[in-house]
Amino acid sequence: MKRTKLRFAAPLAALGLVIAACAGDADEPAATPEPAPAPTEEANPWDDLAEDDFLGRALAGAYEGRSVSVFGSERSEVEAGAFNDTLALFREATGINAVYTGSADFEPQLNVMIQGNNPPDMALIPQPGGVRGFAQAGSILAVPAAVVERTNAQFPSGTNDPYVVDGETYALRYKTDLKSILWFNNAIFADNGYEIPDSWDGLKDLSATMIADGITPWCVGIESGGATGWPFTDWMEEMVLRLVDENVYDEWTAGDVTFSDPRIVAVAEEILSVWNTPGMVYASGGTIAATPFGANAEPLVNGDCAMHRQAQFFASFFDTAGGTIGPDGDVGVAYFPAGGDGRSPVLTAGNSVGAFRDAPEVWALMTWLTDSEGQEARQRAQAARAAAASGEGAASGFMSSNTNLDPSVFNPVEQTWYETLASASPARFDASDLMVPARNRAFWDEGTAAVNGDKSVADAFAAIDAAS
Amino acid sequence: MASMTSESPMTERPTSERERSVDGGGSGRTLLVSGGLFAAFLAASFVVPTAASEAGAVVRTLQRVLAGAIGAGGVLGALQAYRSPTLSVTRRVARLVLALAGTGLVWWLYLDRDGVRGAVHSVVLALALSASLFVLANRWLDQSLRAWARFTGISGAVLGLLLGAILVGNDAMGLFLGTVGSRVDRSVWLIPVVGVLGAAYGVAIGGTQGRTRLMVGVVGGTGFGALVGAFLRTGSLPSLDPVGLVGATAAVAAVGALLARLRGRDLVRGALLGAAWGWLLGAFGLPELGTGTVGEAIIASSVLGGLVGLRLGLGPTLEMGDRLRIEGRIRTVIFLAPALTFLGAALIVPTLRTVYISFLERGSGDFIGLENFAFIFGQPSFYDVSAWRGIFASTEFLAFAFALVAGLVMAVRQRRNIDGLVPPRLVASAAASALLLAGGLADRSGAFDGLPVAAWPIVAGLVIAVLVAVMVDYLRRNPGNSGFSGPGGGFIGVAALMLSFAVFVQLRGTLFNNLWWVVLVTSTAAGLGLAIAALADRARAESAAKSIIFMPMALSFVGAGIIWRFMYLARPQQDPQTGVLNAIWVGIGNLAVSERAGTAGTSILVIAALLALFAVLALRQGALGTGWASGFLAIGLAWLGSLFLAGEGAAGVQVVDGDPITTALLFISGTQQFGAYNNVFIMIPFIWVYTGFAMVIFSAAIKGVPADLLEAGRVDGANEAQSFWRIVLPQIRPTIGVVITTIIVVVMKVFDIVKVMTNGNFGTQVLANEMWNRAFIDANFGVGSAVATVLFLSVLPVMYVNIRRIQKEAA
Repeated sequence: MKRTKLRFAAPLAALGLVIAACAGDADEPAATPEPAPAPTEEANPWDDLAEDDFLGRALAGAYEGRSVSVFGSERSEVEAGAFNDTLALFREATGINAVYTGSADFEPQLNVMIQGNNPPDMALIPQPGGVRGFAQAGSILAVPAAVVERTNAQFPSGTNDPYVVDGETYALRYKTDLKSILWFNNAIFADNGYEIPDSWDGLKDLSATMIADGITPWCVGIESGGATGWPFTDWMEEMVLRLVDENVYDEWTAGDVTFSDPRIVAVAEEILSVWNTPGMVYASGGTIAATPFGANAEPLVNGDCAMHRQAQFFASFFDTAGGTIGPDGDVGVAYFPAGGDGRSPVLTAGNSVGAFRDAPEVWALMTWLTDSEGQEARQRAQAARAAAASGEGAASGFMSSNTNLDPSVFNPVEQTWYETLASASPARFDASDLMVPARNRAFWDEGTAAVNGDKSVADAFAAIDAAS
Repeated sequence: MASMTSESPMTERPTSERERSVDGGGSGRTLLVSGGLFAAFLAASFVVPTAASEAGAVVRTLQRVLAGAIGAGGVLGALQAYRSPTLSVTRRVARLVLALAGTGLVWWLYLDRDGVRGAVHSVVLALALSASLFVLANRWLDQSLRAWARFTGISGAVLGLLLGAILVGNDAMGLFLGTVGSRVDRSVWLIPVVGVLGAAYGVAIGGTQGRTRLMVGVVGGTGFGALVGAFLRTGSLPSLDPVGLVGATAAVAAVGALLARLRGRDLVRGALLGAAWGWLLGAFGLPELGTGTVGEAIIASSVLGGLVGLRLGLGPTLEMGDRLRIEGRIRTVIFLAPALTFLGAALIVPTLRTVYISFLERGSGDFIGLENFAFIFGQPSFYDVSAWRGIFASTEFLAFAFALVAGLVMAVRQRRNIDGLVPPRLVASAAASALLLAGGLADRSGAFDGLPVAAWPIVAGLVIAVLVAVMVDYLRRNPGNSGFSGPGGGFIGVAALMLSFAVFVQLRGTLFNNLWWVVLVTSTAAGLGLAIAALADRARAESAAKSIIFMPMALSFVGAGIIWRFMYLARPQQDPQTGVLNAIWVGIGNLAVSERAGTAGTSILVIAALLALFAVLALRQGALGTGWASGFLAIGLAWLGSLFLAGEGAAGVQVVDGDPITTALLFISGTQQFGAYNNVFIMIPFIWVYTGFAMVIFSAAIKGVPADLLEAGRVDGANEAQSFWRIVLPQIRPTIGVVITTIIVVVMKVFDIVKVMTNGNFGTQVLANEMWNRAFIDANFGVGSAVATVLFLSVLPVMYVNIRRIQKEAA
């Protein structure tokens, strides 16, 4: 009989064990929202601070020992490394342990995490369209007003407008890219006496001259894995700003002007007629659509082509390709010429920080990252890593539009970009990033089809309108 | 005592009485020992620091209690292992040591659960959970034969615990799911209380009879229901609608009675069970929940409980035979339960959920019916049949018709050579094919342009349909001597391939891309695999050759895709070509415009002439396949040689206005050069990988063909080709089916290769990648699920055929 009884005992014990194990697992996630145990007898150093001065309280040590998980798409040694360095500084100052995870499959991963009710505490989201989608679905949290106010005061007005839905701000700009940059091979320009023109027509004339001189004017490549086509959408945006105007650009972004609109179609046809001119484009992958966007750095340094249009972050690609940037380097930098009507539009992009867990330490980190201190820290860390990887003075690839920064954290070329960002008018955010994700992807895919000649521009753009 | 448990259940009743009296002292001692051990281990768990220091007080206490339980249970188990009387002392000591060591290990793992130890701990726990659930379920079922009241009591307790957990709601369930930390729900005490009540109720139902049991059943059930009603969460309070309630109850009760009648069961109990279901539906299913009062909830659930209790109380007193039947039935379910749970959780629920989500709008989650499906089929990039008329005038169609004519004529000749017959159906088919060829040519030249509607495509489509029907019927009636063994069959195969090209080049979009994959990859991989297996069979260096061909199978599709991207790489014309295929292509071109072009061209022409000679000889000897293949190769080489001699360039280099122009082949992005055929270049890596798979399976099947059959064939004068077509092939037919269906299912869900090589750009999208993009990039799970559902539905027929064949083979 004892045996019979004991037979029950062992499995019962094991069962209890399992339940306890499951229950025990709960402590880690559950413990974080609780205030850290603090000595109650003495006054805390942060007691005088306002309830919503998250960063102030964090710096005073109120959230010591807590953790924040951050998810993003940056993975390279330079970028992700610099971000980790930044978070380490934050940890030193506040005792909050912020952990960054980068993924090449950032967008799908984030969607899966949100769908699975297991989002990161914070994410670095490149696309405002995505942020707004999350906001409408109720999965991302509105940033507390105090944090928004404090950050907005440091940026040009309207910087965080793309992240506003129904009066609430759901994310804050972290990094800002300056897109309207023309990179050119200094040697080719110097040897042939070429000048950077000040209009699109001038640029076309210069290209024709180059072809006549036996030089391939442009490097273009739009392949980028799952995001193939985005460099074409950038060209589209630059040219809509230049050949039409910023008001149409805004309506087009909002969907009030369709892709089938003759003005938009005309812009695309203008771009493609240039690209498809024989001898115009050097595409190291055989065709524009098959050439990775990053593979344009090396031919420009080597002189296989004379010019390339890409955002300021492309500087780090030249570092990797062994080229130096600046008037005395291999690759020169200029403002991508305006339309020729007196306006000098600037296209920007960037990423933003959004939060998925409502906790003071999360808001503290968000405040600090967007604050001039956090932005300078990132630039310093990234410049140091870029220098270690590609030599002293290399461009970091990071850029900020925070107006409170000490310009000396940038190298001379970067300083000109920083000034352009601070003073640009009209400045517009990347249109495709502002569109809802389905429309953005259709723009990429159908744009690629048009570039590759699979479809006419009219057919491809009609398909974008139909796709979302 | 130990042997008692294994005794037959029939004799159990009397002995169990005796057991209880005899064993009184023993169980007291056991209790004492276990209590002592438990206390000791509990105390020890306070001394040894637990790992999860951030745990709340409740959780920490629970952990310590359980640590004590583990230790005590383990030591008791060890003692029990030691006491086994039939074993030698050494083995008993060994068992004791082992059991104690195991206990110590688990305890140690349990108390510090960070890192590797935590992972090991989880594995141990998972095993322990499965094992203990299984053992406990069996012990529980044993009770149904030994002591019915105990059985019903335990059942009641388990159900009561579950009910209590459900009642306490998500927070109480969170205790098990790991979401409870500091905020253990206030009403957690409800779980043990309902558990105890359930146990009492179970004992009462199982231990009484007749009118008493009826009373107990109704009163207890009603009380239970009232309790449930009182503790329902506010969000679940029903607002009662008398008409609907009574209507639903009556209707479902009638259904229950009818079912009972049909199954020859008791009418009243069937009706009662139906009434309970109906009441549940009427009270909680139909009205909007969360609008009612607690009173209404109590009424709703107490009536429900009363109905269930009445049903439980009404049953006849169970005899041993009934109990055996019940026990057997439940045991079956319990044995299957792990597999069923796994299937349900991992396959069926996700499938149903996906289908359900495909009916929902992306953001709001509103039900929008088939709109998502309408949306995807409205996208030309997904489904585009606008060019269907072009099918019947395309080059591929003409090639199809020509190959068909050639194949049929050859089949007729073969039949005439073998048995002197000229099957009229083959002749008629050949004539119809000639008509298709003529019609296609006429359509191409614009002869049918003036006709109303699409007269020619319709006629051609009908002719093809009739042709297929006639051919299938012919093949069925003439197995083995159809005339298609040999080049005739080869031409028919080419014709079928050409027809599929004609169709898939004109019908575009994700859906047709997937179908093209299925048709082309499956036929090519299986065909090549079979050919290699047959040709390599018993040849020299067979295993080496097969190993090399099988090797790609070890690659992931992502790896294969990347490798082939390098193979296909194209570079601008001024740069050297680094992709293997373009290096060859442009290399040939460069040779053709170099000063050695004349020498090279002459050599190629000589080789072509030799090949032509060989082809003629082979054809004379009756080696038709070799002959035709060499012939075509000779023609191709002769053409290439003539290009070399003409000096106008060849392959990758053409001379235009006196200048050599290099043109690399843009395989995967080359919609300008290849049209929709860039899809084929993406399929090639897949074929490359799966040919090895098909070859290995076919090879095994061919080796399994009985040697005496082949021997008999050879004695009858069959040559190698004949014994393959007439003996081996019929023997391995089931294997062909398996290989083809397997490849179809794998091809249907192709994802990685396309993702890596084009990500669906350049008109190469497939369903799985489209689903991924829609769901995870666009965050539109409705449309994504709709694509997944289309994919699922299209795999179903193949799975059905496969399963049917497996069943047939088993039968």
